[in-house]
Amino acid sequence: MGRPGFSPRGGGGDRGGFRGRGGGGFGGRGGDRGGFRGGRGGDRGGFRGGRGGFRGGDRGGGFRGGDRGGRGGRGFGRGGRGGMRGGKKVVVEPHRHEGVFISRGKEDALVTLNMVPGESVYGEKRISVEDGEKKIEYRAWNPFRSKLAAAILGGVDKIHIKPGCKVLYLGAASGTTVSHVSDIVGPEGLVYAVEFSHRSGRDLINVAKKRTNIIPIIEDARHPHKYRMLVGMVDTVFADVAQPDQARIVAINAHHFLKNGGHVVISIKANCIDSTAAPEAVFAEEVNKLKAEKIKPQEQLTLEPYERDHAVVVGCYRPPAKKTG
Amino acid sequence: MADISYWSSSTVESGFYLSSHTHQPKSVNEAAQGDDNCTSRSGNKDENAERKEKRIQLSSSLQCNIQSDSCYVTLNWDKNLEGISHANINQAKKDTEELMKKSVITDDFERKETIPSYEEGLRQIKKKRRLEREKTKGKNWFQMPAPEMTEERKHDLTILQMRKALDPKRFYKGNDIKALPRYFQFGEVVETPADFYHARIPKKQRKSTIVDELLADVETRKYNKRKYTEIQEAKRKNLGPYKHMKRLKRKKH
Repeated sequence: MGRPGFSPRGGGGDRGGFRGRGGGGFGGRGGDRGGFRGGRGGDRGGFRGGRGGFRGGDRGGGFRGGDRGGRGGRGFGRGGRGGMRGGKKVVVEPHRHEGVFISRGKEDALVTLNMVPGESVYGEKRISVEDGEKKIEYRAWNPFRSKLAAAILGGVDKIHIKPGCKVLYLGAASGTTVSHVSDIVGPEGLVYAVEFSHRSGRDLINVAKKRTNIIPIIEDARHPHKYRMLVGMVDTVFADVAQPDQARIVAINAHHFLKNGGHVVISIKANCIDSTAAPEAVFAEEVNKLKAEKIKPQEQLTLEPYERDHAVVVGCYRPPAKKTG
Repeated sequence: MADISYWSSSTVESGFYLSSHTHQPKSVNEAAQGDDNCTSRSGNKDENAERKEKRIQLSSSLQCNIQSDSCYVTLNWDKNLEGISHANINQAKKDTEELMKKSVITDDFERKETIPSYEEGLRQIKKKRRLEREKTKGKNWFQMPAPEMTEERKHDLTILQMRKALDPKRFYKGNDIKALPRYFQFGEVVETPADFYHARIPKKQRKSTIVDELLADVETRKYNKRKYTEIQEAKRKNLGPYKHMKRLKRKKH
């Protein structure tokens, strides 16, 4: 089986797991997604090949050691007679998720509206649209480099990031995904991007210089009290920290900044938490930790064709009480 | 001054003006000394007298004792005209146009069967709002427009829907919607200086639409032509899927 498609309808439905399952636990999760896992071996070889280099072990130190490898990965359309050659005509359509678009051509791509027309953040392809006299621009979003993009293409039900909303982004790295989040929330939204590593924080600050809706915070996300004066109340916390105590980090930040009924989107890398246990068990354990911190899990999905042993969990922080009767 | 009646209708004409002025009792004039109009008038008394002779005298002049400066409408036109410049006139015209925009009395007013009501029904307002809203995808998608569907655009969107037939070596997932999209924009992939030469199309070979791009591609045309002749052949010889077509069609009728 190949990559999930670019369909705006997404996988939808049953991938959600939590919804429509009633009181079903998290435990039996791994099994019923068999189809997704099945194709692990052969057919994905091609995608993985070129990538080993930049995504190796350099994730260890600091918050997320090293940046995410700059321009390591061959994005779509990089080289070859792909559908995304300079000068090709494409059609841009709205995606199911707010603020996200799809460009359709010979190849499809997830795109976001560029807040800074004419600028490419990490060498991604751009699509310019001339609408009368005003020119707008879209930027391609590579699911192999961004877990949020991978989650969208995997068919996550809701990303809880939309124009005008405020997002706390933990583990911003060099700001590649952050730039797309800033595109999505638009000029009325805000992204607080927290990153501990100075090296990648430098890149992050460069991104934030041009995008007024990003507030870069070079600080350890374990200590939110150090940046509490910078951050207001947020609607969503996105965490991509890949640390053993990830659930705790997210919970502390949620307690500090997340509004009641706000949402948490966490990408969990099984290897970073416990490399000996089975990924499914690790995910289940993390979800239990979240539950203990008043984050009600709503959805979980693997990022399978794009990342190995990764899961994205969407949860609601202190959800409003269910109406009875 | 008890019998002063406020005539506001425009039928109070210059005749009136004449009479009221000429026979104005002096006391009134003096009483209203504070007023600007009056002071200036009393100054030009001789001119007024001259003007009076030039005007047409009506057979009978009403003496209703109207004091013209206390009317709604200023009756001393000459005085008014002095202050009016062209700019003022244009401004006034503009103002009226601005005001008349909302008016239901338009040029074709006489042709209408009924007088259109100025007040709109709630349903009508809602309908209008909906139509306005449907012009774009809304603020959550940064006002992506719903462009007019021209032939060219239609062709491009259709070919995108049927793209699985374009290249035998490429496989696509099925379309999620049967209809053509409502909100879309045509864009062009921007080349960057960092691009390698094969990652860009030379400027001369660029085309304005997707269909043109495909037509310019030799490979696609070759493949399409081959497939077309194959299908035609199969149809003629009743091969493959067309084997039972004739019989089935006959049955149908």
